[in-house]
This record gives sequence, structure tokens and C-alpha cells, in this order.
Amino acid sequence: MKISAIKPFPVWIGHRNQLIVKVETDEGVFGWGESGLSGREKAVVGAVEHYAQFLTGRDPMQIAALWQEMYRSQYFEGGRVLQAAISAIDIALHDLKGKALGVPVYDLLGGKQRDVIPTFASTNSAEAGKMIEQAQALQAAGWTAIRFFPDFSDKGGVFEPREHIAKTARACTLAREALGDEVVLGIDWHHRLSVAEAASFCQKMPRATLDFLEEPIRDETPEAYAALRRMTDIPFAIGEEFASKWQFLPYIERDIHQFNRLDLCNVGGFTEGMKVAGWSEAHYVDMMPHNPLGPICTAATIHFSAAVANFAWLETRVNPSDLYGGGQTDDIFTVQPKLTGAVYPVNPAPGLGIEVNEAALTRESFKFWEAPHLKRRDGSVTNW
Amino acid sequence: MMKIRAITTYAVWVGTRNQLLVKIDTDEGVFGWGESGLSGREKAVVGAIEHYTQFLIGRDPFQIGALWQEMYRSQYFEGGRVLQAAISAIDIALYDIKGKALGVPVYQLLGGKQRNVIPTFASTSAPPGPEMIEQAQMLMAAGWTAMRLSPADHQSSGRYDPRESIPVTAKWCIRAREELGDAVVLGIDYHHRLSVAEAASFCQKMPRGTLDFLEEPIRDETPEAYEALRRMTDIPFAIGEEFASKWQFLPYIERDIHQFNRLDVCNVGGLTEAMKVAGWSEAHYVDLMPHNPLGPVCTAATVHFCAAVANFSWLETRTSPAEKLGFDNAEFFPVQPRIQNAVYEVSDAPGLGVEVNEDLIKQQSFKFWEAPHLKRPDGSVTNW
Repeated sequence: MKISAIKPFPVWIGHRNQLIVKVETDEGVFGWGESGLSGREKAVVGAVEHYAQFLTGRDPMQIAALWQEMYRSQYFEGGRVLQAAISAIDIALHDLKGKALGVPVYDLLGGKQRDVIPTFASTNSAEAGKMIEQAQALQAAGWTAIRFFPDFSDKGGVFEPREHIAKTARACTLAREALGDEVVLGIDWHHRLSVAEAASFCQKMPRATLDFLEEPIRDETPEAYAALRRMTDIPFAIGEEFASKWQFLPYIERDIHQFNRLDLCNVGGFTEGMKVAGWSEAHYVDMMPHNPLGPICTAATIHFSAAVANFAWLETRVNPSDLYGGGQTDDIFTVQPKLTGAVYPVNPAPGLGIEVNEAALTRESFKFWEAPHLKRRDGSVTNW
Repeated sequence: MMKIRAITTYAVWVGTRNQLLVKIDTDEGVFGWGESGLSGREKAVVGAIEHYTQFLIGRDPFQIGALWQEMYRSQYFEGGRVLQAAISAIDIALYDIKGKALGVPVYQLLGGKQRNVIPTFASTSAPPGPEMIEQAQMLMAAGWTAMRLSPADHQSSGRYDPRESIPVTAKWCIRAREELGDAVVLGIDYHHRLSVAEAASFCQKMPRGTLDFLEEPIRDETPEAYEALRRMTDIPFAIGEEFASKWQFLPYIERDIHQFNRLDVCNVGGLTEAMKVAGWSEAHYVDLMPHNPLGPVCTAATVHFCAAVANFSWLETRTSPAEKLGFDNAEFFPVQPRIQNAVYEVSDAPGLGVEVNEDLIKQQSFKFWEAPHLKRPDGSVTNW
């Protein structure tokens, strides 16, 4: 079998762009992948164009060898744009290989380790009363692990960390009191704090208020995270932006993080994801994959979550209150993963088990989108 | 769903050693072969397999990763080389089954083939002296570009004094390098018989550039001792043939102690564990140089592993003009990996691509065998 075409579809679906990649073969079998570099999709499309030059005519079954070639045969190794492109191609090749062999993708990854995939859901209000109400609705719908957000609503483009820390800590404390001891509670700061700010936030809550702290600070300096690790006892959930095993390396080897937030559509696809998961297992770190994209990312991440030994919860942005919008995508993704309560079933259909209406997909177009360019009150740039 | 119907162990003498072969039968007639690598303690492994058989009968042979976890973790006492040698053989046999059931060679279940042939290193069998150099020249003439020498007195079955072996061995390594030229890769296997000080003295008796790898100079339960030796010599280390899990490899990989990874698929925990170790070795730019001293089932499994990993240098072979050990007896193994011009072919047959003459194997019997119980000149125990 030979790769005959690689087609990127960067299209606005619901409330964001999705960069879908289709790999076709001369035998008619094809595979779908998705790329995760939200906001810089055109760069990834350009990278996919480069890779398509030498992938056409190649054997799609030799996935790991093609991964090596895409990563290493260009002198400039790594980086998130190239890696986001590799991720989508790698996922599409797994879809294709599963279909060609008549097996679900998890059977290419050592087989299924769990029958369903537990998820965590997220609230979207930082106001204590509403946060608790949303969390109770999620609990009633079956969720046992819930993530909060600080108040990230638009304040005219201003984000001043110190204005949120005390408020958010109080809301989390009240939420723990209201929701009880059993539910797993965490919060995602979306890397908006400094080490000192993150330490102050943690120290304003009684111990055991939160079970995980996601991305309190930016992640290019493992030493900064190691410093924060000494200032708080809350387990860390880190890694959604990491674009290779090498970025995970210090976090895993120094036991900095306790939950691994790997994103299959950014880390380098299944090929890289399985290596990162394997070594996380050696450090007793559980996978808690990032999954904010479309149904193809979700399907791929379900197969990954089914196949790894060390797993906590998969992120889902779908929940009964539809807090995140996103809308219906069934017209484009005619077969896609659907939650049963708070878990995803594992689909035994060949490949990823998703179906795409390509005509409907082609009708959609790309919309340039920028993450909010946030400023501190003094006018300086701060992270979104 | 296919089900495991029976697990049969054959601990039999073939050639010049016992081989512990494991056959797994399924209710659909598909079966798989595995081999276990704990030479000298095979009966203990057979006992462990009896325990595992209790709960593996009736189970789905496709869920290899999950069964691995269950064998490793659902017994409270995790790890250890006897249990792991049992898991290794079972894991390999399950891969053979899965490949046959899907009609693909095992490498297709490990990410596909990364190389077309598997380069090997061969070993000289003569002790240091003119014959050793003649054997090396014979190997070079037969196509080998990497070879391993054996130290003085290593054939002894009674008395062994490291300090007597060191100067003779160093002298002949120097001579070998002079006679064989700069281009050939030369290493030596001290079979963990030296202390740190003895190993340092051995290395320091040779000019820089004499050896390209030093295999197992010292015992391996103390990574710190290896790190001390790492600071005393610049010869790359080849370590790991006895390691029975990723956790044993962990300090060697993470602290960059070894430069060649001598993983043994039949001891480390089969292909499931081997791929995790290989993945993280890749992150540290450490190449796999697998141990392969057993029978054709081990060789076949290791060939598939070598085909599938990105980071690879040479596979050990004990089949060469310099050694006749009889492990690859064609009457017992009518279809087995073929070596030509110092490389193994990669079989495209489904599963491992080996065939075992089970009737003949059944006629063979086990022979108790002890490694020589070596003594220092003062009568104290020293390692074989």
C-alpha cells in the first residue's frame, strides 16, 4: 500500500478552528488525523505540505520509521509547529493501519487495558455560588473529577493575577466544603501565574482543598516548577503544550508532575505519546490527557487512554450544561465518540472508529483567530 | 473473542544449553511461541508460569498490555527476575499469536519496520592470543564490522583471579586493535567479574581508542558504582542484559551511565516492556544492542524488536564462523531467522515467523546445569 495524498483541512467548526488531516492511499484506505496547535494552524498546514513532498508514495504501515524521518531528516529537529504536523499525520496513519488490518487502533498499541474511559469535566464560573452549582450538576451527571477555572472572563483585555488569587482561593475552599471530601477537585490557571503568585494561591487554602493544580506557571523552566514543588503539596497536572518526549523528560525524571497532561495532537501522535506514557509509568505518573479539540482528537485520545496502563482521567469539554458551546458537529463527524454518563465507551470499530463527511467538511472555511492579547494594568503583556 | 486455551512449557536441552520455550494455544487454533531467558533457573520460571496459567486461561490474548499489567501488579509482590522471565515468554508468545491472527509480522504491531535488515555483532570464542585475532579476522572476512572479544581465563570452571586476567586481556586487546585496524568496532565482555578498581585498571592499561565498548565490567545492582567507573574511563559501556524491568534500566538511562543498552527481550518483560525501555533510551540517545544468547524464538522476537525501534546499533548473534553452539538446531526449529553476511533478515511472515518441531521438542529432556561456581585463589566466591 502507498500513500497517495495528504490533505489538510483547516476549518472553523463550532467555536474554533480544527486542523484535520486526511491521508489517502492507492488502495482506497484512508485515515484521519487532527493537529493541536490552536491559533497557528496555517503554519502547521505549511509544515504538512513539506512532509507531503516525501511521504507520497511511501508505505503507510511503517509509521514509526516515517515518524523518525519527519523528525530527524530535516536537520532542525523538533518544535511545536513541526510536531503538530507530525502528530496529525501519525494519528491518520494509525487510523489507516487499523482499518487496513481490521482492528481498532488500541490493538496496535498493545491492546485495550480498560473497558471505558473515565473523564473529568470542567466548570466555567469562578463565582463561588455558581461554581458549586455547576459542579453539583456535574456530580449528579456522574462525574467524580471536576476542574475549576479562575475568572477568565474578558475584562477589557486586562488580567491582573493578584486580583484573582484570593478570590479564587476562597471559591475553591467554599467549593470543597460544599461538595464534600470524595470528589476530585482541581483548577487550571492556564500558566498565568508566577512562582510566587502560585505559591500564594496555594497557601491561601486549607490543605486538601485541591487534588490537582494544572499549569499554574509557564513551563519552559523545569527548575521553576521544581521550586514551586517545594512550596506547595498540591499535585501538579502539566504537559498539554509539550511537543516531544524531550520536553517531558525533566518533568518525568525529576518527578515534578504527578499527572501527565499529554496532548496527542501536539506531542507527536501515538508514536511519541506511547513512549511518554511508558516512561511516566516507570515514575508512577498517571496520564490525564488534554483533549480540547474535535472528535478526531477525542477518538485518538480514547484509543491512547484505552491502551496505557497508567491513566487517571481524560479531559472532556462536552457536558450536560454545554458550558463551552461548540455546538453540534454530527453533520461533519457522522460517527464520533459520545459520552455515556461521565465515561467514553471504547469503540472496537477498525481504526479510530470515526467517520467524516468530507463534503460537509470542505464547505467550512478557515477563520483567523487570536488568543486574547492580555495586559496587566500597567500595560505590559501577560499570558493568556 | 479469541481465548487462551492452554499454556505449555518446554524446558529442554538444545545444543549446549537448556531452552525454556512457552507455547500458548487458543480456542481458535492459533498458537504462539515464546522463550524465557533466565538460564540456569528454568524450573523456577516454569513454576511461575504455572501460577500465571491459572488466571490466563479463557482470557483474550489480544489484550497484551493489560495482561502484562495483571501479571506484574496483581500479585502484590511486583517484579523480580523469575516472575519477569515468565512474563517475558508469555508476552512474546502473545505477540506471536496476535501477529498470526492479524496476518502481520510482529514488527507491524510495534509501529512498523524501521530497517530492512538487522546488523549484528559476533563474538570470538578463543581466549586472548593469536587465535582470537585469527577469529576476528575470519569474522571480518565474513562481513562483520562489530565484534566482541572474550577476556583471559573466562573458560575456567574453577579458579578465577581478575588481576591475572586483566594484564593479559589488555595486552591482547591492544594487539587486536593494531592487527584489525581502526575501522572495526571492538568491545569486550567482562561478564561482571571485576570490581570498580579492577575495571579502571583494565581500561587504563590500554591506549585511548582501543575499545569501542566495554560490556558488563562490574556487577550492576549499584548504579552509583557504575557512575564511579564512568568517571574513571572514557570507554562507552554496554549494560543491561540481566535487567528485569524498566525500573532496573531507569537509573542507567536517566543518569546517562550506559551508552549501549543490552536489553534482553526474554528477561526484561517481553516486547511490551522492551518497547518502553527503548522509547526512553531514545530520549537519551542510547542505542539498543540487544542480548541474544538463547534459541531461535528469542532471536526472532529480538529481530522484530530491532526492526521496530528507532535507536539501534547491533544485535548479538551466537551464530558465526567463530562459534558453534547449536542453539539454532534446524531439526528443532525448521523455520527460524536467517543470518547472511552478518545481518539477520527481517521475516515478513505473520507473527514471529518461527516454526518449532513440537514433537521433537517433546522428546528432549531438561538437564540441570549450574554456571561454574568460580573461586578466587584464596577460596572465596567470585562471579561467573
